[in-house]
Amino acid sequence: MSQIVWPSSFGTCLTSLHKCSGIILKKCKVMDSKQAPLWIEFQNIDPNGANIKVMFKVGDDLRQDQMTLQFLDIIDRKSLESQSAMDVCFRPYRCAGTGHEVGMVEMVPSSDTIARMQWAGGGPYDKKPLFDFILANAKLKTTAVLDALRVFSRSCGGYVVATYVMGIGDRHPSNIMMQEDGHLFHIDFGHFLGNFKQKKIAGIKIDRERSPLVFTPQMLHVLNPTGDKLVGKEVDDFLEVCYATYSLLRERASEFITLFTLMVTAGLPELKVRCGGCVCIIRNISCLTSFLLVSCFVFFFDCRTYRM
Amino acid sequence: MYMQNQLKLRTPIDKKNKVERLITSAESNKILKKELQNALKTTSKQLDDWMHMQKHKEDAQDGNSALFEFYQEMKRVKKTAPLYWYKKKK
Repeated sequence: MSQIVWPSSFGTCLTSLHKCSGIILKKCKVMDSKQAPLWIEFQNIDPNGANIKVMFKVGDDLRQDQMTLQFLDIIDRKSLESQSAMDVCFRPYRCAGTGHEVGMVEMVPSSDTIARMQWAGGGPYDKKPLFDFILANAKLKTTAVLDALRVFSRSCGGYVVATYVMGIGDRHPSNIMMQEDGHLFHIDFGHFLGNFKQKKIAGIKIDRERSPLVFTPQMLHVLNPTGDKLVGKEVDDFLEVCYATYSLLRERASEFITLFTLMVTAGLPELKVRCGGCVCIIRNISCLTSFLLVSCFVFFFDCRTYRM
Repeated sequence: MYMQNQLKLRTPIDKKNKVERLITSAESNKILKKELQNALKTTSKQLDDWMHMQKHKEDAQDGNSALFEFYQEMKRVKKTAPLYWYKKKK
């Protein structure tokens, strides 16, 4: 790769806004994940701009991620247009499938996974890491902490409802991230519409997700650091965002469902029309019968026309 | 179908009267709040997270560096981070 002569200016397939001038080989690495994706850092053409970080992935159908991210983008825009005008602070990252199970994903700057925060703290049973992450990055300044808490309650509320409605699965702490300004977001949408991952324990298959929505005691601790219940000012703000987002999705249910239905023909593995065995066969038979009847009718009519 | 179900648009069909009715926003909000409370009670999620942590521990290094340094600093000044900030805020 070091022998490649890069053009003086080139872009990525994610957005035309990316203007790169080269690749920083030292910072490129293979990431710790099942598909072993590549972390690639491009030199920004603007000397004052940050490096452009992307992930190159082979082995996953990124169309599903792309679709989910577009859905999140629509929710974000519609939430601002709605009467309640509740900004859910979504910042969907860019993702593009470039071929069969090949694609690129934009890396969100100044962010880290919840798992890495838990590793620095006391693990999944410790409630504090998320709140501590906000405090650490706000340098314990009250205004900065309050701003971060506002962004957190909005983004967390929006994502809780969006992932609940779309049935996003595989929500382990490495798939949930947070930016330094308190913006919480989800990544890797390989499982949706309730197609949850299953674990085999003693030969029995058990759904990995035991709850349809992702709201952990660690998230509650950020909103209410002194208690374990859904009470307090920040919690009320969070609930308000949840209710507003849920109402928005319910009001525009037909629009959103139509968007998903339009993608059925794309052949995404988890987006197929499910029908109960026999009913499906009967439907197929009735479709075939009507097709044959119509064909016979057309054929007969054509013959008559020909004779005439 | 899954999305329709999650959006709680209609009640299930009543077997006696064979009717279904629309669910109001207030009712759906109540259902959502109950789901949130149920999610907080789910202990298997934490167990699953713990198993995930054990699986990837070798590649984890020390976790988030800013947070790690912050904890070191808090240890040095003998303070507990969240309560320290909360008391300062009050």
